[in-house]
Amino acid sequence: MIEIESLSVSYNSHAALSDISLRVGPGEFVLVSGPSGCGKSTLALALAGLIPQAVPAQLSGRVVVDGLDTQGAPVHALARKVGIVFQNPATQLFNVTVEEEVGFAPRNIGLSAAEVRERVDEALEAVGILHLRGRKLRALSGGEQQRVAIASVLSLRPGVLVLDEPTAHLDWRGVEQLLAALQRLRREHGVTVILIEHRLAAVASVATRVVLMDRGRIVADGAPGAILSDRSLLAMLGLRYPWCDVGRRVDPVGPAPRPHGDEPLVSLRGVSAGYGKHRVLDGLDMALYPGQFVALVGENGAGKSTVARVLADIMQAERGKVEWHPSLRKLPVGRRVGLLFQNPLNQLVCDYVEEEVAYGPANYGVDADLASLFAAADLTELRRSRTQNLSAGQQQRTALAAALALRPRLLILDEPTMGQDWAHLSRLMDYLTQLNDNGQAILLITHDDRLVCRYARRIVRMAAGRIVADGAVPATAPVVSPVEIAHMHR
Amino acid sequence: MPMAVGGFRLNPISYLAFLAWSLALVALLPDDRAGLLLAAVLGVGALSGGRGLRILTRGRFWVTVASIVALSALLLGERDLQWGFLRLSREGFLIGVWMSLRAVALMLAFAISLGVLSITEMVRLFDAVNLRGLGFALGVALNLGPVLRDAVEAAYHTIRLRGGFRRPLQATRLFLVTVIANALRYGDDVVKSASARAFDLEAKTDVAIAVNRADVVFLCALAAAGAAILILA
Repeated sequence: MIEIESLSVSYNSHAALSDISLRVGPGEFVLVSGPSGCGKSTLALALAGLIPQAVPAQLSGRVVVDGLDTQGAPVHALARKVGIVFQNPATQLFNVTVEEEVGFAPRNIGLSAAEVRERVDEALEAVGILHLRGRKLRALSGGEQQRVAIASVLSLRPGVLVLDEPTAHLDWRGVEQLLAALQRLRREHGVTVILIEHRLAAVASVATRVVLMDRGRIVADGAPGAILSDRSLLAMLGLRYPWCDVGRRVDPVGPAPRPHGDEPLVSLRGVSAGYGKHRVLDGLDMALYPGQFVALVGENGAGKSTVARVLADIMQAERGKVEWHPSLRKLPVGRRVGLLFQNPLNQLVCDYVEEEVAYGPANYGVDADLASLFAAADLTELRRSRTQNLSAGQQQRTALAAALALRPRLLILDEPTMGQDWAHLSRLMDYLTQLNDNGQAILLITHDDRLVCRYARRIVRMAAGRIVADGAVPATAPVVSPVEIAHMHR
Repeated sequence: MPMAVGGFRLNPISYLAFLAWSLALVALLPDDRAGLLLAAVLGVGALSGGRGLRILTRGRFWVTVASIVALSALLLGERDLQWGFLRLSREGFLIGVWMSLRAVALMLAFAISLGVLSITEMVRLFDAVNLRGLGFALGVALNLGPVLRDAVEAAYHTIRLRGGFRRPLQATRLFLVTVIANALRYGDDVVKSASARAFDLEAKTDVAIAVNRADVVFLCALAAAGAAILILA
C-alpha cells in the first residue's frame, strides 16, 4: 500500500528526514513515534504529497501510495488514495455544519448530489457519528470534531489514513472514541492507518506495528510487543514506557497537604462564569494554598480552562468572588498569575526566543535568572532562534519560560503536554517541582493522569462546572490493566 | 432556516444579490430615505427566519450605533445645543442618526446573507462565474472567525499579563504582528487541509448558477423595492 524508498526531506538545508525506507501493507495499523522534532510530521506531509507540492521543502527519494507517486501526482488526486488528519481540528474544519464539512471533498471531485449524500452517510457511519450530521461544527466537543475531521477525509474513500497526533486535544473518553473508530475502519473497511503519537499508552494496544524515529531516521520497526517493551530504547528516545502507565482515572484520597499554611493564596467563592448564555462554571468553590501543586482534571468541557481564565482575570465571574491573599491584591495581575495557554503559538509575541523570555521582566523591571530558565527549558541552544520556526514542543517551552520569568505567585499550565515528548516534559516538570519545593504554587490542567500521579500533590476533579472530588493524590496509582498488556503481547 | 418564497428555498444567488442591493442603496440613498432601506432589510431578515437579526440583541452592536451618533453630535457641525456640561451640535446629531441607520442596514444585510450561505454554496456560486478561489477564501475567512478570535484574545492577554501595555506603542505593534502572523498561518493550514481533500483551484467545473421561481420572484421584488425607494418615495 505504501512504499517509501530512500526518502530525504530538508527545509532550507535543515534535514528533517534522512534516507528513510519503509513498506506498509494494506490494513496495517502503524504507530509512529519519536521525540519532538524527529521528523514524524514531515513524514506525514510527504505521504500525503503536501511535501513538496504544498509545503516548500527539498525532497529526494520516492514515496508511492497505492500505485501513485506523491511527487508526480497532484495533491487533489492523491487525496483519493491517502487522507491526512492534522493535530488541531479547528484549522481543518472550515464549513458550518458536519454535513457540509464531510461533503466538501466529494463535491470537489465532482460527484452528484446523491453520490455526495451517500459518501457523507458512509463516512459518518464509519466513525460512528451519523447522529451529528446536521449539527454545527462549533457546537461539537473536541473528540467529536476530530472524528468529523476523519470523516471529512474518509468521504473520498482513501485506502490510507494518516493521523498526526490526533489525541493531543482529547480527554480519555475522546481518545477511546477515536481509537474505536480507527479500529473499526481498519477491520471493517480495510483502511491502512498510520498514527503519529506521543501518548503510547493510549494507542499501543491497538497498533499492529510500531515505527520509532529519531533525528529524521527510523531507529526501530517491528511488533509493538517487542519495540515498546524495550525500556532502554524508549528511554534513549525520551518516550514513556507504556506498560506501567497509570489507569484512566486517578481519584483523590484524603485531604491534600498545605505546605505553607492554611491561609489561601486565592479563593474562588461561589463563582459562576460562562460565554454568553452558556454557563460553564456553576457556583464553584475552590481555594489554592501557597506551595501547593494542584492538578485540575476532568473531561473536555468540564470548565477547567474557564477556571484558569477567571484566575488570570481574563474572564469576570458573573456571580461569586475571586479573593486573593491581602498581600497580593496590589500586585499587577501578571505578577500574581502566570498562565500558559493551550496553544503556545498564540502567546509568542516576540521575534526571538531570548526576547520572548525577557519581555515580561523588562516591562515590570524584574530581575530574572534567564540563564537557568533557558537551561531548565532546554532552550539555551535556541536562544537566538525565531519563535515562529520552533516545533510545537519548543514553542510550548518558550511560552512557559516567558511566564516563569516573572516569578508569578501562581503558575497555571493549561495542557502543557501538547506536542511534548516525555523526556522534555519530565525535565520541565522536574524543574517545576524544584520551584514548587521552594514555595511556587502550581495549578496543572491536564488529561494526563500519569503526569498527575508523578508530580501533583493535590487533585481537583471537575464535572459540569463544579468540583466533584478534591484531595491528595494517591501515593500508589493504578496501572494499565493486564488485559491490555496481554492483548499487546499477543 | 433559509428564506422560502412560494414553497421554494432561495438559492445563494438571491442572498448575494440582496447583499449587493443593500450595498448599492447604502451608497446611493439620500439621508432621509435610509429608514426605508432599514425597513426593507428588516423585512428580508424576518422572512429568512430571523437568524441574521440576532445581532440586534447584542449590547456591543448598540454601543457601536450609539457611539456613531454621540461622536457625530460632539465632533461635527456647529455646537448649538447645551446638554449638561456638554455642548452638542444638532446638525452633527442628525448626521450621526443617518450614518447609523445606514450602518445598521449594512450590518444587518451582511448578517442575514452570510448567516445563510455556506462555504460550499459560495464555492459553487463563484465556480459558476470562474472565480473558484474567491468563494473558498470568503467562506474560510468567515468561518475561521472563532479560531482567530481565540488567537486575538490569547495574544492580547499574553501581552497584558507580561506588563506589555506599560509600553503601549510597542505592545500594539507586537499584538498586531502576532495576530497577522497567526492569521496567515491559520489560513495556510486551512489551504493545506483543503488541498488534502481534493480542493483544486485550477479545476474546471461545470457548475451552473441555480435559479428557481422563488429567486426570480425575490429578485424582481428587490429591483422593484430598490426603484421605489430611490425614485418614487
